[in-house]
Amino acid sequence: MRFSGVAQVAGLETRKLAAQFRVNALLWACVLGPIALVGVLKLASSTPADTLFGRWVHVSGLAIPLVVLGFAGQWAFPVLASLVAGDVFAAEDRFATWKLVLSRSRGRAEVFVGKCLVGFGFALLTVTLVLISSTLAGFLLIGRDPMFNLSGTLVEAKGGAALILLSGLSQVLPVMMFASLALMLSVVSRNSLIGVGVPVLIGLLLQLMALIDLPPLLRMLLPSGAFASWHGLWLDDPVTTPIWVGAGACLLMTLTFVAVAGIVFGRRDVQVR
Amino acid sequence: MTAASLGLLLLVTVSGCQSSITQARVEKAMVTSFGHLFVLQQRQRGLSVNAADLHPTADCARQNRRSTGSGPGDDWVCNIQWRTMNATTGGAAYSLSVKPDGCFTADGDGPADLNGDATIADVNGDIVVNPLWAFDSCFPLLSH
Repeated sequence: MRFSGVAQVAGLETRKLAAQFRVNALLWACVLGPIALVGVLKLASSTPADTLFGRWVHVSGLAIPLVVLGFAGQWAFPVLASLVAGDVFAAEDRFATWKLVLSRSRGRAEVFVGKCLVGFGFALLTVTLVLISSTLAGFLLIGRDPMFNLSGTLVEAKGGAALILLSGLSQVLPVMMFASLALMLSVVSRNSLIGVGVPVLIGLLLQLMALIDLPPLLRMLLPSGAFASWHGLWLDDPVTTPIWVGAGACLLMTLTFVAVAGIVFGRRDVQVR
Repeated sequence: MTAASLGLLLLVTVSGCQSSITQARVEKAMVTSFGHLFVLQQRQRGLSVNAADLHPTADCARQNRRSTGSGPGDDWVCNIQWRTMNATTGGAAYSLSVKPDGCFTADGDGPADLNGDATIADVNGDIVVNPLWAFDSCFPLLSH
């Protein structure tokens, strides 16, 4: 396996994605969604007070990315993580193109790594776009006034921006975990519907579980807990244990899923039809 | 993985172990948040209060008779007391909605001049958000 080969596969996959209308539409939705949310909040003057930091959306721009994080971590990030990752392998089955892909000069390992990189890269790109867009929309459209943290202390715009960055970073591994699950299912099932649909369903199931009074350790180990672990950063004495435990559990799951996908893909027979 | 999750779910439900949403944790978080927000509200009104002189305490409990006294729910009620400047005791009531992740929303239940309105007039006569009207807070689920 050579780096240039992996880069070639990843480059080709990226060009294929960039040419697709639905992929471009999704990226634009990630950018415009948070801006539209701020527009609706300003027009309707309603307050999503049942969401953490929701009561501050008209006062401080810091609240916008956090409200988005609260919603997206529950419902949107599992979807964004699996949309491309769950299709990147199965698409070759759908179009019956494996015999073309695997008979070219790029080895099987290079194809696998290249496709995985694109799956992970797209998942992280969407989440990054959502967070950057919502932070900018908050600061530019709502303002840079301070906001209360979860201990009742005022957080200024500058310190708040750093905490938003850290909160966003805490989403990386749970997003990777969902992307790797989608990659594995996409490889094993050879079916995009399963590759994309099953991770989304598992995400919903995990959110339902998060509504139950689970033991704290189990809550931290689940990806739903990892998505919510940023809450602890917004206390006077920041609580980071849930972030590390959640990230560690997600990393372990990610490595397992990628390994399974790699083994299955490496031993696969390709039928020439 | 789905089967494993369901198995765990069953295990947790059957074992019925002690909730990590305890009275002590709710009270500690309420004391911290209320203390900070009270000082801020008094400052907005042009009164200088020293946080160290406040000595706030909280007495929180679940109202639902069938509930066990711990755990998430909408029926938590907190009474907060603190020392005022003229050596008397101030009091305020809040009803809490505590979620299983250790975050809660506290909604002011009186006295009216303290937490009865969403906005108050500050020392300059400007209308500002009343920090004590309702607030969100969280506590770590593994703390003492």
